[in-house]
Amino acid sequence: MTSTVLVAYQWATTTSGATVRPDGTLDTARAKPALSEYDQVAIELARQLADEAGARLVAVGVGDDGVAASLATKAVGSRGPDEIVVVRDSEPSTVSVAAALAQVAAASPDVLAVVTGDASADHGTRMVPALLAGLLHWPLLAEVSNVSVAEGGLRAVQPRPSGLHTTQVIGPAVVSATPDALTPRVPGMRDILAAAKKPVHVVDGAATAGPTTRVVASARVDPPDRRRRVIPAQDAIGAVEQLVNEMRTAGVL
Amino acid sequence: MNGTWVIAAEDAAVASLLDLAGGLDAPVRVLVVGSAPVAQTLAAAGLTVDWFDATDAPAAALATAAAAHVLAAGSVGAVLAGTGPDSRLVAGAIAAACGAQIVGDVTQVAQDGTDVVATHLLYGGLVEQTVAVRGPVLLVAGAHGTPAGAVPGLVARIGVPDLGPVRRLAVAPRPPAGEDLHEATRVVGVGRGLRDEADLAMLRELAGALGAQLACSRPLAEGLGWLPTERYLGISGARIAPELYVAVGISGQGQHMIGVRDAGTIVAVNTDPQAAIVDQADWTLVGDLYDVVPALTKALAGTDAP
Repeated sequence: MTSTVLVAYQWATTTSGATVRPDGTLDTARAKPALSEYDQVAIELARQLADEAGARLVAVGVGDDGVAASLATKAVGSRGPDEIVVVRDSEPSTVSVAAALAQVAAASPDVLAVVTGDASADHGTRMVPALLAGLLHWPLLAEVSNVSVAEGGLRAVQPRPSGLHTTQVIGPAVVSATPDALTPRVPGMRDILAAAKKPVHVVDGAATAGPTTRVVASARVDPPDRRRRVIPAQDAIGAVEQLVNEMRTAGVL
Repeated sequence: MNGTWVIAAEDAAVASLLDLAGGLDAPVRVLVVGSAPVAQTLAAAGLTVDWFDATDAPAAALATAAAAHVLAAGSVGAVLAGTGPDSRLVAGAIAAACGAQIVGDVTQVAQDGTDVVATHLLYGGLVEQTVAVRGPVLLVAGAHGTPAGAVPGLVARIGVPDLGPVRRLAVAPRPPAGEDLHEATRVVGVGRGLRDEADLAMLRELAGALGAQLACSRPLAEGLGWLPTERYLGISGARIAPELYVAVGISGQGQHMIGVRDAGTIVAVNTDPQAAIVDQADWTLVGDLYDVVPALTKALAGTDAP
């Protein structure tokens, strides 16, 4: 039986195009949803792993109806998965996304790995891979720069402050990719055309227990007011002298 | 009473997590999934430490046993973990085992009856939100500062008979990344305005003259690899609050500035008077960094570094 590599992705509005209202809500009218850089890296790494293993690559997106829209599925499809599964979740959270991915992984045949990006664009707790691994009772190969097929499982390279760790797992694992694991290729016209023909399955997420978290307060964080003093520095030596004097007067140096 | 756990994995720098845990009613226990020095350092600070020895085994091989140990010790109230990969790995195993809610980027914690009230940052720091959580909760926060104390505590070493399917095959050492950026009182950050890796020498001289540590924006660490990833500042990198931050060749995009907005003073060097950083800095020298940086280094040489 052909094994499966799953890769998680998010189709989410990035904060770079959004503005925050004073009450802390996000104005996304001018922001466009997109596949994050992290997820582009994860998909490419997963494609390489699936090719090496002769496995089928299934991309799994969790989110609202926008995730199932053809704009989104084509953007993901053009990056190389054989198939796309969208799990509908109107209010995705770290917990619900991990639960949905665990559900898809448990239902998929002969899974070799679930690959994820390092961080997600919206809820940003960076906990989805670890929680997913915990839910599946699979090991997590966290922040890998490279992953390959090894006898009975996977071998991963993990850059750490102490050095490059090489870790081997027998059986399936959750793999999270470092943001600089590789440079994702830009899809060509052929990839974009092929993406339209990739099978897309939309399923509903499992109902989770009622909310146990309630929001008490929310507000925009404004950066502290600064002096905003500008010193032209065509004459670098003179400008630096002026800067150093002003900083000393202000008690900063 | 539901227990509060603080996780230490990569190192013993969990003082900030212990401070947050102090806002809760329950006594704090420390779970170390790390090396012997980490466990010993925290016990020496007077803490009760349950230790899973990760000297030879990767944390991934110990996470399930560690989670089972925490659950067996009684009902879980709050778990506090830093953002390091092993800390998150252990925290995820515990959160999955006890069905915890997860709150990231936590800055304050308090108890309100049975609820844990956590203030945290959203969207990479653009929004501050306070939530009340009922039931077990995992609080992820920046971990820094090594606790000190005079009264030695205890270390209970927990053996794991079966390491399961994970093995560490090799570690190729690399030079240490240097001092902790969070501890620095002065930091020089360099960005895409730098044209060549060799020109970092000029920035190192400036940092030396200031008594500062050298850091960078994300592209220099993750795209170009000129500095280690531990050295980049921003949403997904280090967030620091030095007394002085000097931003050289950095445009001042939000993703970077969130990492340094709590600095006491910000000085920028940029060729573009319209750059976003101008409004977010106390002083901006508008000029070519290749002229300004050597002049600044020379002017500062001989002044008192902190």
